[in-house]
Amino acid sequence: MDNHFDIIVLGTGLTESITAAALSKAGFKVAHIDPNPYYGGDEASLSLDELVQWVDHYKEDNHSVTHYGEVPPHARQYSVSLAPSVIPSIGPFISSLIASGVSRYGSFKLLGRVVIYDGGILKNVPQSKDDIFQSKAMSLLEKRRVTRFLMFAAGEFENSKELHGQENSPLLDFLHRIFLLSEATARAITYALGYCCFISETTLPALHRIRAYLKASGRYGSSSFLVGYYGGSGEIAQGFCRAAAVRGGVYILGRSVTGISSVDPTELENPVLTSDLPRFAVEVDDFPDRLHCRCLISSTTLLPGHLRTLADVSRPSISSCSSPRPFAMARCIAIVNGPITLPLDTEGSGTSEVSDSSLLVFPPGSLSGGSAISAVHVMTAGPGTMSAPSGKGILYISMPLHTNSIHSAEILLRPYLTAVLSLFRAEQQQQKTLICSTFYMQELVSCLSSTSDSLVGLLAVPSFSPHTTQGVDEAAIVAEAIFRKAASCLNGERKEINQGCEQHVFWPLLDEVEEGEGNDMQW
Amino acid sequence: MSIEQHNVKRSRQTPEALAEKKQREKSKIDEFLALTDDVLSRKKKRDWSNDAFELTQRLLQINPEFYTVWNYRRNILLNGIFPESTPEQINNILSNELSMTTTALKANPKVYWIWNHRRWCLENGPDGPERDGVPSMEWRQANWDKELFVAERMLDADARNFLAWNYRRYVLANMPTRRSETSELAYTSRKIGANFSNFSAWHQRSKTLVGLWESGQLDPIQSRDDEFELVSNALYTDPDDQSAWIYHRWLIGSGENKGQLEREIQLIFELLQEQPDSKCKRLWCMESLVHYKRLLLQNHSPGSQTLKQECVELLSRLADLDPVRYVRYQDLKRDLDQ
Repeated sequence: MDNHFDIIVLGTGLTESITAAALSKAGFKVAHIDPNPYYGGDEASLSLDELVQWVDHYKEDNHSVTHYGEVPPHARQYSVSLAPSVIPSIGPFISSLIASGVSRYGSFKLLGRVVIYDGGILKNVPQSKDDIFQSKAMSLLEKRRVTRFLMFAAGEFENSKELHGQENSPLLDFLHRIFLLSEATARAITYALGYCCFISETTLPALHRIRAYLKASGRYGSSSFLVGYYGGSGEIAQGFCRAAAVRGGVYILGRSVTGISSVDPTELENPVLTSDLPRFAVEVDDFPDRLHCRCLISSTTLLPGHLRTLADVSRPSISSCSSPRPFAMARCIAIVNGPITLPLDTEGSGTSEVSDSSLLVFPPGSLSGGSAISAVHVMTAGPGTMSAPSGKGILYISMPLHTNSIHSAEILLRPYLTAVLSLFRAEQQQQKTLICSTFYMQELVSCLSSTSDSLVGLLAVPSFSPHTTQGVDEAAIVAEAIFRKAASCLNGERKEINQGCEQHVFWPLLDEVEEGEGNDMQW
Repeated sequence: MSIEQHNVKRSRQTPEALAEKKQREKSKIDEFLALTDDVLSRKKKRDWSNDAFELTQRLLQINPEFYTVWNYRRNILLNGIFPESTPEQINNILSNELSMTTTALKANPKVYWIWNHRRWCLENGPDGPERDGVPSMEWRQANWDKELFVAERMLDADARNFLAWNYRRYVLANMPTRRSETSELAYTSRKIGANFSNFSAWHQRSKTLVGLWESGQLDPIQSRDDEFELVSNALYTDPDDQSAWIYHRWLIGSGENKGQLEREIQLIFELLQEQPDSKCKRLWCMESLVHYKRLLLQNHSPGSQTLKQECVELLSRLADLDPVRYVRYQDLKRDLDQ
C-alpha cells in the first residue's frame, strides 16, 4: 500500500466522516483511521453485544458508566445510538446528505409525536395553526396569542419592535411578557419548539431555531424532523465513509494510532516532489511503515495531549442559533418490552402510520427529583426504524449539564426512566418491562481556542454537539469549515496550479447514477 | 452552496440537440393533427366502429379537453357498442371508462369534460345484476361507491378544490344507497380540522347541518351553539381568515336569538381589543360588530340610542381604516337613521 496521503483523518465520528467524504470526492487522497472496530466513534450505532463491549472499554478508560440487566436474545437486531439525534428537514446536514449522495445509502422516516411533560401528564405541542385550532387545552385568547407568536417567529423578526432590547433576555420571560403567553404555553414553545437545553437560554438564538424548524415542517410531512434507520448518526457516519471509500479513500478500522510526529523533510526514506512534502507521520499499530500526510485531521479525543494545544480548532457553531454548549451529557439507553408507540390523539389525521420514533420533553423543574435547570429529552426508537426487533423498543434519555456534576448519570436520570415507564404504562395499559439499561456520562472535550502558533496542517475536530435537533447541522457546518481549511492548505502549496482555478466545492455535482446500488429513500 | 435539483447534472443543450428536439415536436404535432382530422371525419360520417372508439381514446389521451371527441366517444358507445352488448358487458365497459378517466383526472384534476364523462357513465350504468329476476342495482352501487372514493382522494390532495366538493355533493345525492348526513358532518369536521382556511368545507358543513336540523337528527339550538364554539376557535386562531367570518355570519342568520347575538358581539369585541392586530382583522371585527349590532337594533331593541351610537362610531373608524369603501360606510350610517 502506498503510504503517502494528502490527508489522514483520525476518528470516524459524524463530523470527521463528512469531512473525509468531501475531501475524497474533491479528489484528495484520504486515509481514514479509527481505533474502534466500528464506524461512528462517540456517535456510533451499536448492536447490544457491541454495546456491552463498549461499556467495558468505557469503564477501563475511567468514564462513568453502569449497566443492568441481561442482554436479550437477538442482540444483533438492535441498533442503539450512543448519541441519539434527529435531522431537521431543512438545514446544512440534510443538504449535505443529499448533495453527497449518502442519503441513498440510508433510510429515513419522519419523527412522530413531540410531547411535553407538564403537570404530570404528556401534552401535545402545537406546531401549526391547525394544531392550535384543534387544541382542547388552550383558551380562545391563548390561541390568538400563540398564533401571533408563531407568525412572528416564522417571519422577519430581526428588526422587529417586539425583539428590540430583548435579544438576550431569557426566552421564557420574553414569551410571557411580550406575547402574554401562559407559563405552560411558554414552556411548550421554549423546550419543545425551540428545544432549549437550559432554563435561562436567551431569546434570539432560540427564535432562529424556531423559525428554521417552522420552515422545515411540510418539506417531507408535518414533522420538522427526520430520523435515520438503524440507530441514526452512526449509520449515517458509516454512509459518509462508504462515499469516501468509493472515491478511493482508504479505511483502517480497529487499529490504534501509536504515534504522531511532525516530519523533518530531510529525514524521508524516499525522496518526494517538493510540492508534496508530507508534514506528519502517523504510526499505526501493527503496520510496518508509517503513514505520511500533508494534512492531519483528527477528532480532539484521539489527538495526543501535546498536539491538542497546537491544533487549529474549528469553532462548532451556527452562531446565530446555537444553544450554549453543555459541559457533559448524562445519558441512558433502556431496552424495553412492548410497543413504544405514543398513540395519536383524537380522530386520526388520515391513514398515516403511527411512527414509533417520538420525542418526550421534560422541561426543567417538571419532574420532582429531576433537574431544575436542564431540559431532558426522551427519544423512542423501535422496529419502525429497524432499531429493535418487533415487540421491543429503545428509550434514550439525555440530560445536558452545564457544569461538572457530582452525581453519576444514573442518579440524575433514574427518576426520568421511572416516570417514562409509568407514563407508557398509563397510555397503553400494559406492563412495560425494562429489559436492560445503561447509564453513562459523555464528557464533551472542550475546545481550546486556536492560537496563532498552531501547526500548519493540523486540524482538530470538536466533539459532536449533543443537541438533539441541532447537533447534525453543526456537524455539517464544522465539516465544511474543516474541508475548506484542508483544501486551501493543500492547494496553497501547489504553485503549478493555475491562478484561475476554481475553489473546491463542498460537494461536486453527483453523476445521475453514481453507482448501481444504494437504497431508495423510504418514507 | 447551490443545489440544482438534488445536485444532479442537467445536460446542456447544444444547438444540434435543440434542433432535433424541435423536429421531434413537429412530428408529434403533425401526428396529432392527422389524428384529429381522422377522428372528426369519422364523426361526420357517423362511424360507430370499434376502430373509431380506439382512435378517440388515443386522441383524448393527448388532449383530454377536446370535448367534441368526448361527445363522439359517448355516441359510439350508445349507437355502436352498447346495442351489441349484454348488460354485464356494458357494465364492464363503463367501469373501464371510469378507470381510464381516473388516470386522466390525476394529471388534470380540473378539466370539466372528464368529470362530465364520469357522470354520464355513472348515470347510464345498467341496473343489474339480476337477482331472482329483480335488478339489484349492485353494479351501480359499486360504481358510485368507487366514485365517492375518487372524490375523497381528490379532496385529500387538495381540500380546496371546489369542483371536487361540488362533485362530492353530486355523488352523495345520486348514490342508490345514501350515506348519512351525520357521517358527512364528521367528514367536514375532519377537513376543517386539518385546515380551517377552507370555504368549501365550511359551506358543505352548512348544507349538511341544515339537512340534519330539518330532519330532526340534531337539535338546532344546541347544534348552533356547538358551531359557534367551533368557529370561534377559528376566528381567534386566525382572524384574518375570511371563511370563518362568513360561516359565523351564516350562523347568526337574521339574528332572532338575542342571547346568541349578544354573546357573539361580546366575543368579537374581546377579539378586537386584543392588540396588536392586522388591518384585516380589525376590518372584519368591526364590520361584523356593525352588522350584528344592527340586527340587535332591528330585532330586539329598536329604540336603543346606545346601540345606534356604537354603530356610528364603528362606522367612522371603519371609514378611516378603509377609505376605499368610505361611501359604503356613509350609506350604512344613513340607514341607521331610518
